[in-house]
Amino acid sequence: MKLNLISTGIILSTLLSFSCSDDEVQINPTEGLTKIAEGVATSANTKVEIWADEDLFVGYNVLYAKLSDATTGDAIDESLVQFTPMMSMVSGMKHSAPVDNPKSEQAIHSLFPGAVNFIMPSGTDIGSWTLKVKVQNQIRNVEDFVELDLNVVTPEKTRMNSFATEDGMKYFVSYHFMVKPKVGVNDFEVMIHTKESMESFPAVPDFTITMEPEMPSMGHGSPNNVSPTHTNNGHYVGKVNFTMTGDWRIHLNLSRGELAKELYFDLDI
Amino acid sequence: MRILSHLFLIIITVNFVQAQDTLQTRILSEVVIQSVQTEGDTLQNFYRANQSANTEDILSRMNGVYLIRRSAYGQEPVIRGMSGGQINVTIDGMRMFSACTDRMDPVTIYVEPQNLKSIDASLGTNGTSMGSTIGGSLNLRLAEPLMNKKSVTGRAGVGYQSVSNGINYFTDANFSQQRSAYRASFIYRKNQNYIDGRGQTVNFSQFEKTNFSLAGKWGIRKDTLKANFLIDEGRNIGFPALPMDVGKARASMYALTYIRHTDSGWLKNLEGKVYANEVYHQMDDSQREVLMHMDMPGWSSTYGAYAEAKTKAISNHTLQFRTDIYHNRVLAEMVMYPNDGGSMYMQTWPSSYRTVAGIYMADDVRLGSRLKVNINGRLDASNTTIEEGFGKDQLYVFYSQFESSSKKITKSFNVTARRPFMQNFVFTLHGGYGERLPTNSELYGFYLFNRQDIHDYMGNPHLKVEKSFSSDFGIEFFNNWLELNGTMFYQHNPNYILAYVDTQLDAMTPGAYGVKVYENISDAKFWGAELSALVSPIRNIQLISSFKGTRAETFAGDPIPFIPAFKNVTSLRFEKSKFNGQLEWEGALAQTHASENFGEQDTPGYSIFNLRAGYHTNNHLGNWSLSVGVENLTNKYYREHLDWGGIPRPGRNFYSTVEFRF
Repeated sequence: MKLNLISTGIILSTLLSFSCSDDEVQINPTEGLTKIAEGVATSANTKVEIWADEDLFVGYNVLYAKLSDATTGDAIDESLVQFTPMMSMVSGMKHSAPVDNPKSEQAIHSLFPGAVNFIMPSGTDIGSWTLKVKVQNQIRNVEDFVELDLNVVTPEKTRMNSFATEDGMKYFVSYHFMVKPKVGVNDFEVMIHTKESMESFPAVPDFTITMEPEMPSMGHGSPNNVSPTHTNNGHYVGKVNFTMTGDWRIHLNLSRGELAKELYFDLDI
Repeated sequence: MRILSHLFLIIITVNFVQAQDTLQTRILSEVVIQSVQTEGDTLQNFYRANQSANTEDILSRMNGVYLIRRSAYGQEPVIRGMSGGQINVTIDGMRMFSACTDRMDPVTIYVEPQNLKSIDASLGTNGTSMGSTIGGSLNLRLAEPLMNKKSVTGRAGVGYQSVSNGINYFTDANFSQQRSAYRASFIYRKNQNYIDGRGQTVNFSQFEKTNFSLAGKWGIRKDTLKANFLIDEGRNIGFPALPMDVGKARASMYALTYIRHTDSGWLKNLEGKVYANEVYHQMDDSQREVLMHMDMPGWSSTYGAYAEAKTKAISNHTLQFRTDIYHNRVLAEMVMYPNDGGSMYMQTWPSSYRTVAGIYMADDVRLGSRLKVNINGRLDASNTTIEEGFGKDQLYVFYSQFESSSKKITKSFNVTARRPFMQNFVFTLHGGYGERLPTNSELYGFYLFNRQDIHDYMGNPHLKVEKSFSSDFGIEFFNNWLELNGTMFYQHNPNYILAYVDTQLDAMTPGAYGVKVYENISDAKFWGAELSALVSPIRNIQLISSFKGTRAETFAGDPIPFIPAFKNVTSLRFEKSKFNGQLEWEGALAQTHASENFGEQDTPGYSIFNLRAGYHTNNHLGNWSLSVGVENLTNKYYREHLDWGGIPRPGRNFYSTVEFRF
């Protein structure tokens, strides 16, 4: 009897939460995010919005796709979502960029998170970025895409580093904090991609990274950091520690066989 | 012999603080600053050698008490080689904690001799009546308004010291009525840089301060209500031994006390107090040439209450009970401004608070006609919590796991036996056990720079309580012209808290050699002796000599830092009608047992002389007194072992004080 009551309660509350979703004060999934672009994939009748943590910059940008029915406005929580960034340079050359497509066809809080590592900025004398977002209408079983214009700026402090090796390989190293970095222990990711062709920028999984943070104005670092190690898809996860606010520099020593490269990122904590 | 026994009462520092002794000598480790019979009070003249003397000058002459000196003003008391969290410093029974991470503001500086009635010292684990301790306790009793007939009394004076071009104004007034009395005091001191024995100016040794206190006392039937307010503000206090000075140090205290005197039953009196105090401390390097300027403000606030009861003699027992609670909250910040790049912020004392509640009980037992035993014990329950947020996140960098709240019980227990032998001897034997909580700096301190050993210090939230087994043996001898008191002590401190270099860590402070982290070492031992003599061969001449010495080692035989050299102060006083003269010798042996690990160097011995004279008169205009003197007569260049940074002491100093009483 008791069990019944509880299960009835659960069902009721579930129903209520569905039926009242428009009136209820709900967690806004895009709270704190910046809308980057939007467009409609007409044959799938799907409105595509792209949100990000901040304005797009040269480096690793987490992008959140938000899909809704173009007619009713209802959120679409299940769809294939794929990003294809494309830079059309003033010189006429075209190339893409390293991409992490949303892992799941199921939205998380109505958002499909993925990422693009923009390897150069956009600008009138440089070129322009577009993002092709492929979506799928589950009901009609139609695949469609929308192409969005993006503005990508060069950040004040470098957030993506690229280098070429003697054998002609080019590598792109970017970083990302899962949550905004603060004084204390921070989960931290380094992404390494290479360039295979103008369209293909695959992840490189076999680098060894040693990391050391430093305060250049003080000359000291911080203890107990965990150098990033490869998890999957070119992502290297570690922990970086900041003992105070101010200007920090993260030194990275990358090695892969004979290849060794030192680089750093500056950031303001 | 009246003076002698009065003196004896004061000078001897054994541990019968609560004893109501009916022996010829009442053993009390108390230094009276404002005695009712000020005239001819040799001991007061001994401890308060100079009318412009401040509280630390008085402390430095007390038995078993030493000072760590980083500056001309703001010296930190040490009892038998133990300091900081190892000892308790209370003001009128109130707990108060400094707000400076670098120990620049020991709370003793917030009380001036003018608003001090007396200082009680208890040595070793026996000093637990005010709180659990292993090293001892100092209780600074505030001056009380005198309540008798309707009157207004007071004094005003001015003092001058040549060595630092220092001036000192003081005044206090007492308004008395039949059932109430009020007292106000005001002190202002300003000193320039002083000059050492080689004629060199010691830069950054200046200081300036004002101190104001108000006290009220009301008779309510048989009971007494007291209220105290005190505010002390120091400015521009130089610390020659440190890379920073004190821009401002401001303390305020508030207390309300109710005392119930009972005639009936077994209770003698009951006392209850509620209090609050607050310290704001701001370090400053704006006058220094530094690579990087920084601000280091600190805050400490404490609230507390206690109740205590004393009984009359019940059969052969006299009991004392006390229960107390306090809550202390601290935060210290550091903001650095590099020449290039943004400012940097951290919490050198992460925001944290501590609540301690305890009970204390003491029993004076008479066994037979001659043997007296004092038994006392204390139990404290404490909760220390580091607050969520910035400071705790900082500490996670060093300790991936620690509890934000640390709950600890501290226990102490003491037994003292005292028995006269023959006509002229008294033997005292004390054995005790005590525990103390780690301090804020020891638990959570974050890159606290120590100039002495040039290391950054890190707290350790996993520290255990430090313990001590302590023992004292004392012999007193007295006859008509001589009184001698000697005490030997030995303390064994398991879980002794000391900081050691962690080679894995890099220093934060530019120029620092490395990082030290506090840890509990297996144990440390302390031993030493104090010896006092009072000789009065003829009526007008008195000689007081006070010797103290401490040694301390870790279990591995390494010297413990901050252990003073063996020291003696001897004062020969002559007094005739309105004149008095005093010759003092102060000397210390060389300290070669220095702790190199803590940046200490051997300190040579020294020997200095002081000469003092006074004259007082009483005429229809009032009561005038003049005192003049010269300290460090031979202009010796010297320092004591607890003086940081090899900074020399002042050279020859001429002083004079004029005081008018009404």
